[in-house]
Amino acid sequence: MKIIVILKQVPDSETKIKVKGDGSGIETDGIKYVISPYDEYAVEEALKLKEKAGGDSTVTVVSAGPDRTVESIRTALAMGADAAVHVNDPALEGADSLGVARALAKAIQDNGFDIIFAGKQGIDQDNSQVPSAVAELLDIPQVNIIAKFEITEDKSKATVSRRIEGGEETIETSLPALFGCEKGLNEPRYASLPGIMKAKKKPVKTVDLAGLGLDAGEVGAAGSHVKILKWIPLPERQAGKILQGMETAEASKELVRLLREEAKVI
Amino acid sequence: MFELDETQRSLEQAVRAWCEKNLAPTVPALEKGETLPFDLLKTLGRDLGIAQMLVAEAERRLARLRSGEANAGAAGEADTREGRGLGGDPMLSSVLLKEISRVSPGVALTLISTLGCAMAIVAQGSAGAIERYAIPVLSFDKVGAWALTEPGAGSDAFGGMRATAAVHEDRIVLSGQKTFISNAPFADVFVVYARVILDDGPGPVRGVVVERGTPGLETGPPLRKMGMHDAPTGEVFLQDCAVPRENLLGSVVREPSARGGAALETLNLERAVMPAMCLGIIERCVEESVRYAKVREQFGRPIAEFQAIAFKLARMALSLENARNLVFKLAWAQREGKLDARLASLAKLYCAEEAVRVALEAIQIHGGAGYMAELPLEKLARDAKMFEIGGGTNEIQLQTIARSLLG
Ligand SMILES: Cc1cc2nc3c(=O)[nH]c(=O)nc-3n(C[C@H](O)[C@H](O)[C@H](O)COP(=O)(O)OP(=O)(O)OC[C@H]3O[C@@H](n4cnc5c(N)ncnc54)[C@H](O)[C@@H]3O)c2cc1C
Repeated sequence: MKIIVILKQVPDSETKIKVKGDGSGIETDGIKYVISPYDEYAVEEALKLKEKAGGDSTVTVVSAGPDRTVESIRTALAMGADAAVHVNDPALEGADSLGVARALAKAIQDNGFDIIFAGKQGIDQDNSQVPSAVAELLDIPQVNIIAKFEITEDKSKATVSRRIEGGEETIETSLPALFGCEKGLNEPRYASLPGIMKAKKKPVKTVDLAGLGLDAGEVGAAGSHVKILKWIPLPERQAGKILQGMETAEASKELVRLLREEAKVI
Repeated sequence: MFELDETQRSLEQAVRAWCEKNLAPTVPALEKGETLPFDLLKTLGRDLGIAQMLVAEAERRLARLRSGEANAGAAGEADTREGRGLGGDPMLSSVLLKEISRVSPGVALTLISTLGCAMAIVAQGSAGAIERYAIPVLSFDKVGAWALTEPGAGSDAFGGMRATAAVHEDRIVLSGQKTFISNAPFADVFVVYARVILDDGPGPVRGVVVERGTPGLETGPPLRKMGMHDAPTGEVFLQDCAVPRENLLGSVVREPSARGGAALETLNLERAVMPAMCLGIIERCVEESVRYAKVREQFGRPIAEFQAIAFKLARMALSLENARNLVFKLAWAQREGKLDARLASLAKLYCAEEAVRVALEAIQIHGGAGYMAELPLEKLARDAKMFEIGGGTNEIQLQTIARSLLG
């Protein structure tokens, strides 16, 4: 089976994000980048499937991003993936989800695929759009936010479930298909030391948009349907107010007045 | 050369993630003695593939021993990667120990003690001893202990040693007492150092492998101590304890090379890994202190804005830089085959002293909060103190360095 994982590199969730003074983006200095946590579930599910399917099954990681992305790709290879395709083109900087999906879909198509795993969303911009767009572009079924995954013996169908309000939804789909992975689907393994050492020798193919036969003007930032106008930092939290030296009755009256007149929440 | 390469960095990331998830939440229970570190180490060995690598390396050595038993010289060439630890790169072991020590130096001590036992067997043991005793320890199925110190022989471990190993044709009979031995209360396999006694009198000091359950071997309960609560320490009692002759590490004759021989080599190795453990303490303390100094406000401003605090941080950064450089240099020296007693002692002394100082400064910067067990600093400080004693005291390191200068 040709198993594909779509992977995105994002700032570590513990990174303190600072918006640039001119609002054109975020300060990237000192940011630690990691595999988007939901994508780790995707890697793990792919590896589990490979172990189960056996034979000549392979797991290929496909990721779009700048040079630094290679480090996250290597981590996935160290976890056990076999190969990777790295779409690296400056034109993708500022591309919208559809543009990125076009690039990924083409890379996946060129590589060949039987099943695709992705995280349910990237934890940086939380758009949750790329996996669905990739599935549409490849014209295959998709189920997002899966918390359970099973495949039939002949590998023609998968049964997955999603957690929904007050229950669980079970979906059966034909393959190939794309699955967006949710927390709880599995317990991602660590990159082991032997894995890390082997990862160095695994093939990472780097392609740019031209190499994929795509038009940077259409797929890249220039063709983006979405434009981020400005990044605005969260407003600083205002200092609180403590009502002191009042009787309870008086204090509650004052509290209600403040909530109504100053905070304007009631 | 002064930065981690990609492999080392990847390992750092993986161990850090592992420790955050598995070790940090367990530290309170370990500190209280409600749980032991050995299952945790087994999980670490499995999750990070370390056990698999250590066992594979020992098996390679075993195969060479078996195939080369007729022509012992053949082992020489293939041995060059040996003794450099994980993956043939000493920096990988340093990274592993540093990361564990950021969270619990005690667990790192348990780790080096169990592996120190196994490595001594792999380096010097017969094929049978490696297979039977070292490999189960390297796979973390069994726990090892490395026993040199005695009640009357600490700094003067070799000169003052009372434990004896009487050599008979088919067996060795051990008598004596060991103390302050890491892992001893729970270990399955012991490498016990003792003076060899031959028919014609005393011979050299050698390691002998003893398994728990051997008649004549007893261990005491964990000793209460200042820190390293997650590394149980205890006594070993040996009374007419007979083991097969093949459990002897090395030969019964005194080799022309210096006193102590292989035991001293293990000590040097121990000294060479302890700086990495101290580095873990220092690195964590610096990070926590910088973070805290920026957010803790007194007199209407962050305490980092008081020069008294800022300069403490600056000095701590200096220690961190120096300790890190020494750890890099140690790894380089090991790779180049240039690790000598002078460098090992120098690095261990400096890093141990700075770990204690930096950890105490970190507590100071955190004020009352730093003194509380809620934060990791008081544990790091208590654990740090061990490095000024174990593996040779500061004074003994100074003596070794002075000797290297004065001949
Ligand atoms: C937590 C812990 C774990 C340990 N684990 C192990 C283990 O696994 N295996 C093992 O074999 N040992 C272990 N040890 C023992 C350790 O190696 C010894 O404690 C250490 O070598 C010092 O010996 P001592 O305690 O007998 O002190 P002593 O040798 O009695 O020293 C007492 C004081 O005298 C000073 N002194 C001694 N001789 C001189 C000199 N010539 N010049 C100047 N000053 C001198 C020392 O520096 C020290 O300050 C452990 C110790 C601790 C605390």
